[in-house]
Amino acid sequence: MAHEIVIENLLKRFSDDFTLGPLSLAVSQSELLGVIGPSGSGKTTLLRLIAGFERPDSGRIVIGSRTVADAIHWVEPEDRGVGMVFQEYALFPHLTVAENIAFGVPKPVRAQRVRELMELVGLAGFAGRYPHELSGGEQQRVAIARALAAAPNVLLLDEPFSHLDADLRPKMRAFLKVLLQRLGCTTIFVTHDQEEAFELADRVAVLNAGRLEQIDVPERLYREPATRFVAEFIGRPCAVCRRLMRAADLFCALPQLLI
Amino acid sequence: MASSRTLVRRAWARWVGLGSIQRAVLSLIVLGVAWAIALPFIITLWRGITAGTEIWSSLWHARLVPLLVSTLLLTGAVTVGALVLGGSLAWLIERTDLPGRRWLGPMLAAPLVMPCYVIAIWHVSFWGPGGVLSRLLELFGVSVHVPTLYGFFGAWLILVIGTYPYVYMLTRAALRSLDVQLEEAARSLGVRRWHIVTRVTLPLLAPALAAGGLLAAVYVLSDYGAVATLRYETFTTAIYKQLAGRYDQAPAAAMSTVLIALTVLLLVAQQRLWGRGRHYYKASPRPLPLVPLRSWKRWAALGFLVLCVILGVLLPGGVSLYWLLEGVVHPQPMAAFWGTSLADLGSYAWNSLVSASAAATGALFLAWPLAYRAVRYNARGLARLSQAGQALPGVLIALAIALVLHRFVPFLYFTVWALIIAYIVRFFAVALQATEAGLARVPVRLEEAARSLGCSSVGVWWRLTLPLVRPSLIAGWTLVFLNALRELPATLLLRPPGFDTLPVRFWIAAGEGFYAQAAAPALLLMVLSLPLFFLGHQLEVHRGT
Repeated sequence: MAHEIVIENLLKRFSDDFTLGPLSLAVSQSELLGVIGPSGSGKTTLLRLIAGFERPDSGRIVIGSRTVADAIHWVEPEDRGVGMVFQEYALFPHLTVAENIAFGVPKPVRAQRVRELMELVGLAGFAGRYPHELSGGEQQRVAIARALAAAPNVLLLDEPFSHLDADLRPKMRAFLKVLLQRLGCTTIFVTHDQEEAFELADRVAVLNAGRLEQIDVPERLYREPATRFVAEFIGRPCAVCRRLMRAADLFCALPQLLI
Repeated sequence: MASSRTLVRRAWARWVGLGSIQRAVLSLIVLGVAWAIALPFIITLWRGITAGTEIWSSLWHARLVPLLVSTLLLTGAVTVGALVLGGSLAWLIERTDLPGRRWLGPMLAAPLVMPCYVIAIWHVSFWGPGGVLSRLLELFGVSVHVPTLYGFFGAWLILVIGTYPYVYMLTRAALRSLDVQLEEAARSLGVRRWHIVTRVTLPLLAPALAAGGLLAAVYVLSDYGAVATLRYETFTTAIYKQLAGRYDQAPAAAMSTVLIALTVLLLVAQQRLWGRGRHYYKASPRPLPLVPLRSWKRWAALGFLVLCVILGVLLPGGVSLYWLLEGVVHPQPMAAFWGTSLADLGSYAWNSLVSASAAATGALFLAWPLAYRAVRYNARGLARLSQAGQALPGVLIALAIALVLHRFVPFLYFTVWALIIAYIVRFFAVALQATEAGLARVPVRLEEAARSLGCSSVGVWWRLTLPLVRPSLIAGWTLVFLNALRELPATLLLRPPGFDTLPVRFWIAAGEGFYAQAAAPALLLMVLSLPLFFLGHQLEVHRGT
């Protein structure tokens, strides 16, 4: 299968000593790649580099057949055809749902496109509402519809479920999975919740402190972790939970023990 | 059996917790205060409306249309000027990589420290034949004709200088709270830079721009000092002449009605807009990217900023220092008559400080029950009513207070009390807004939480409510104090004979051309106004006219 996104030796330094990379990975067409890692591991930075909001210090990013960033080339974000769904959705507060979705659509096809997408994400009756009148789940669907309306080749999702209530997450996850499979859009999504990544993604990349630890299908990550970090990050969260809970129990019981 | 101490405590708790009787008492107090504060406004309107058809028709034929045209023309032109200047300066400071932004940023807000009439008078004494500029040029043997500043252009320029800081500061705050992700989202949707400005950035800034523009417009309507100095006739100068010259109240009241109507219109628009577009919060802490300015653009922008600082701050400040030195180096025989000795200056300053601080303290005391009722019981009707005073420009407040005192308490007329009452009525809205803002920071839940932790109701007051409200009260007091300190026309018209304040002394001396004698009061006023600089973000600033 053809690669839609190719990243070679990507490196980005920040003033506060954080460095992302050097990092290489490739994403196939229509693939759904999950990126996981603890907070501060560079997940969001990776997305921002692909979207074009940050310039890499060295390395190369190819989207489709076009080099969008390397030592010579630079393509502005608005010319990359990369849609992004921000962690806090970044909906335009002064525009209605329909106007938000129509934002990146050229005039001639606008009305029809907006109608299609509102139906696709199940917000048909919401055209005239403003973002602050929507629930978190509805806001997220508007953000996804807005990104898809511009017909991107690549879709980036930054912590898509982190701002949703726990009981809403499985529902939105299922919804997103069906939607993305139907559209066949190459997608990278970032999360700190490995369960989420394993359920949704075709392949999962594990980042730690700016380095790529491993990238593989969920099963292999689980069975054959390449590094100790991956093993601990994937395999042991429940053990940690259990230990924490035991500690908490003990802590609560302390007053009684002391008396 | 409950001890006497707990009984007292319970009684206090009931009072503070406000049972039905106490609430009724509070409502009565609020009713009284609100109507008393609104009375001057209502009576002025009433006098104007019932002025009789003769007065109205003679006004209509002789004055009204030209006055309306000249006032609206100036208001519109200044508002546009302040919006363009304030908006572009805010953008240059917040969104570009201009060198020296750090110190130019606050300097650009500094005209707020100077009352508009001070800026106007120093500009008048600077330009024109025989002005400071031509004198300085003569020192170098250069003799050119320096144009004067009188008329529409001068009034426009000075009022733009005086009002752009409102737009500038509000827009800067809005730019800073703009979420960078919104612009990034627009870019990821394939929208070009310029379209992002028109489709995202400007619409998001619109509430701030509109609020700043309205502040500027309301200010222009209320201004007396600047337009009088620059000899441009508007409603305020016409009413002032009517009052000071003939003391003819009926035509003045009729003209006032029109001016009040214009002001109320703008104030209502302002209240509608206030708080709109704020129902989202800044999600991303990432700072907005700066636009690099290269080569000539950089220098052009820097030159523009420096020019603004020179016209708004350095020139008025420098000219007052020049005149102060002039007075010291070439003392004039008339100086004694103009009372420029330190002792005289001290007495003016004392008069100013006493009247202004009495007004500030009184306004805060009266505002407290209204704010309490508004915040705790969400009953804002009477609080709105009491803000009517802010629709009365300084000239009109003098007329209104004169009308009220004449009818009800004539023995207060032409006393310091009349002045203090005028300040309180005019700036009551500022005190009320500050107190309300402070009380809103102490939700009832918080007090309940303190009570549940075993704190007595007095203790809650002392340890929780007061410390939380205090900063707002201090800010409110300072704002009322400074506004009263700088108020010119109301003081000129209402002061008792011999009661000279700093603005009055400055105005009279400068009006007679004795600039050297006007310099000291002006500089003192500027120094006393410095706290405004630190309260700038509060922006309920209504400067004295």
